Amino acid sequence: MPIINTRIGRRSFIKNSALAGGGMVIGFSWLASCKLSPEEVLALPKEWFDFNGYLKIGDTGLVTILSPNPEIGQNVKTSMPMIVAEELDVDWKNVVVEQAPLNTKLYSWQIAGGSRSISSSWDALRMAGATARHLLKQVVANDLKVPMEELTTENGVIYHKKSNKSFTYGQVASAASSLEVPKEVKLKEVTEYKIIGTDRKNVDGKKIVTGQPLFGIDYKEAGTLTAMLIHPPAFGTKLKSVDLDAVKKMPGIKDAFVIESYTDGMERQWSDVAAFTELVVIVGDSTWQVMSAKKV
Amino acid sequence: MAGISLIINGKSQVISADPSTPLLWVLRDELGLVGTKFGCGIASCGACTVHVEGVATRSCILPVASLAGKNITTIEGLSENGDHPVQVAWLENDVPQCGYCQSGQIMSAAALLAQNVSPSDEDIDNAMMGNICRCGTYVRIKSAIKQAAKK
Amino acid sequence: MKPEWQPIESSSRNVNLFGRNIDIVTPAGLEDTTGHYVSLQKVNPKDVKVVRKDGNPDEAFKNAAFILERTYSCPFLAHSTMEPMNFFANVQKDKVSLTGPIQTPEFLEKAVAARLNVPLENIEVNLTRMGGGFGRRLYGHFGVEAAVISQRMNAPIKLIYTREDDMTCGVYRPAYSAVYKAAFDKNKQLIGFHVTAGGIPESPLSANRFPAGCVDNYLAEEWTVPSNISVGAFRAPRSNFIAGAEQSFLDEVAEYMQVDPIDMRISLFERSKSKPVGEKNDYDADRYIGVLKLVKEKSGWDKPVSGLARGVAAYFCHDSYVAHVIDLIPDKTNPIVKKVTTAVDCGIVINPDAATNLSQGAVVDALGHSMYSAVTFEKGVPQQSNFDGYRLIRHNEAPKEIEVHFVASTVSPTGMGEPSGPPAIGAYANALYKATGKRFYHQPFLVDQKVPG
Repeated sequence: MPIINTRIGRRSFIKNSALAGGGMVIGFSWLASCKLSPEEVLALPKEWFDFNGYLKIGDTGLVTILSPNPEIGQNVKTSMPMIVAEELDVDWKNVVVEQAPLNTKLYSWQIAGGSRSISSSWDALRMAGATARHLLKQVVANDLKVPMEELTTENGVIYHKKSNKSFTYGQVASAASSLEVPKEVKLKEVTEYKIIGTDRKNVDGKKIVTGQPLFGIDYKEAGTLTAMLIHPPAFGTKLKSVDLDAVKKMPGIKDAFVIESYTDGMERQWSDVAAFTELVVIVGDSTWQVMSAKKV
Repeated sequence: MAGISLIINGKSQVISADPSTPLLWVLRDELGLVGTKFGCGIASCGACTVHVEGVATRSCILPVASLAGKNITTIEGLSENGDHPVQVAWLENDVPQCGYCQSGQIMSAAALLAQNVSPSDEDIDNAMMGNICRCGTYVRIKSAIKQAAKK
Repeated sequence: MKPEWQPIESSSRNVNLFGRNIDIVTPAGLEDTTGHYVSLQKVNPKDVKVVRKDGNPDEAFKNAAFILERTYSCPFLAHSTMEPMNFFANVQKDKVSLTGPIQTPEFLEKAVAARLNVPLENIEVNLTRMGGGFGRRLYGHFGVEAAVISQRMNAPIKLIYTREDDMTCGVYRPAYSAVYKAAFDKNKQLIGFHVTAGGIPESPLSANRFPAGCVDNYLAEEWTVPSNISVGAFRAPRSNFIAGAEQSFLDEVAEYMQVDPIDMRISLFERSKSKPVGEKNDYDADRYIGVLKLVKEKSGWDKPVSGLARGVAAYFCHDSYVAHVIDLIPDKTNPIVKKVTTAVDCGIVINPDAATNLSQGAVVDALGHSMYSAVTFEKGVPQQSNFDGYRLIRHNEAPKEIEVHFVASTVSPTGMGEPSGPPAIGAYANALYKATGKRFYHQPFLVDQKVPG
């Protein structure tokens, strides 16, 4: 049985926890209505219990798994949670997937690049699921005063075959979430996989085919203004002068000015590649008004 | 400003934007229907495809002034519960990768099937070649259209 | 607005590359594509640097009974994500909120912290689903720009690029070139291999990849030409060119040796297992052989369908192995890709149908760009600014069928999103040769060169 060290502590969870609740943030409603056909799924919990940065379990047994990496169409928002769900040993239909925000304390390599999303988080994702499963079993072992080895799990239920007793994850999630995390936990063998290696539909599929807000360009908050840029037409050139008086008077235009996106002294990352750093900016109420003003 | 009246997804809407505004930006900015996407602004990629009186039309170059009283359907109004045969086929074939172009692809496909219940490969190519998928889901789109055609 | 523009001066800047500081030089001047091709073809020998040398390649080439030499090139490409660059920013006194499509949120956060001079703790970056990335959104200047604008406006703003802004602001796939030479003895056996590769402004070479380790006398060299046209990683960076070049060249090597191209590759790998040349060989020969054998079986390589022209290629990148067989319907102007048969070894496959989709997409992506796409320049100005001038592959041009097979594996997962693309270009070029009798060396293959029947 593969064993893995547990490296991530609990309860340092979610810098942006407000996001997890949905609210005004369009496109980020966490309860993904992503099922192809109505299936029997567990009820919406009254209370959620955080296990680690990757998952929380509700009092009904419904599980939320956070997908740490940026989703660019490589489908990690489905495949990364599948790995957590595998080690947690839950029914995939009772998993809700949520996009995690940037959190450098909880996650490593939150980058969509180098085809490395899965390989760089393979251990962390398995560990997150296996640790939670261990804690859930620990609660039952303590309650029944039986060794952990006598317990099995399947689809979100813990079984003690000898006494013919069973407990759902929802029943023990509260107690499990406050237990101390062991130094190491057991992982499944490859031959035991039930979710990994099976076809699972894109968790955002239903939202995509019905045109729900999901993308950056779809996102705005109350009072958001639209901004557009004008950059030099030729590589090897930069702005010399521009007259913005007329543009500022156009309908719906709030302001027009020149920005310096990167300044000389600032530390630049490898990712700060930009040929043009002095840019003309036009800001206005609506996209078309700003787009029209650009052409003046 | 005298507002132009459009019928969008079966509902009459009075538009306050300037009449020269392309339908795309009225949908996205004024009505909050963001399923219709901006891709190129010159009707070259198909991401902004909607139905105008049932015909697949690029909304990014279409001034709302030309649409008074017209019936417009967007991806949000294609079906009540996301269960149009094309949408169902898209899900069953797990077509999307990034997903950005797919509402335009679905609108083009739905308009094709409304006119042609059993399109050939060539019919599909002709109807769909205005819709770019940068992720390259073309093979699956074709399978999904054929599957939807059977329903 | 009457904006006026002036020439830049040469400059250099220091960037933090994962903790290592490097200098990037930006030369002055207005570049054009004609000049780029001159610099790709006439490399000054003193700018060429040896990266790997095994055995005695000079001697091997001097004693060769025959030398095969071929040159390959590719143009700059624009990533052209369907969702143009955009970002939401709300910069307030004690809180900076950023939401949008970014492949490197951690580095965007650092850049905004440095630019606005605010602590990292005050910045939140929320991730949205992205309308494509392909490497373009590794470079988050648009997020920094959004933050600077929001700060100036003291309001939440959303920055949107038009397609023209997006396509003409840079961060392109570099232009590359490679010269391959093979030395044969009088028995037509391969005795020496020499690759010299470079680009504007970076080299595409991975000197320790195949066929390094398989050939006694091996020389790999590289060079670069500085440019003020900004570049960045483009899906399977460097591999997206060098794989196609190398795999096309190997097809000619096999043809000259009069051996089956799959068998030739397998025997080279077998040789690298029993008697490897050099030390840092960057591949697992057994996994390479595995995908070649699988694609051979699944494509029915030994029983070719008459009327179809087929080509094969295999490549290793992002820790995974992919082989393709491509079948073309020969046609004077429009050689249709009838079928692509693909074998992938990426270790354990998490979600097979989704991985299949990704592999199919990578094939279409790679083939499409090799067929049609290029950004060219005149006096520094990109000559393509939207999809009317910059051609991307469309429905009617895509392969009719792409069948993906995975090698059964219990190895921990390796890369999936990128590795299927690069070798598709080699398999396609090799199939084009069978379809037309003509070799294709310079991308885009189908734009300037009418395919003869």
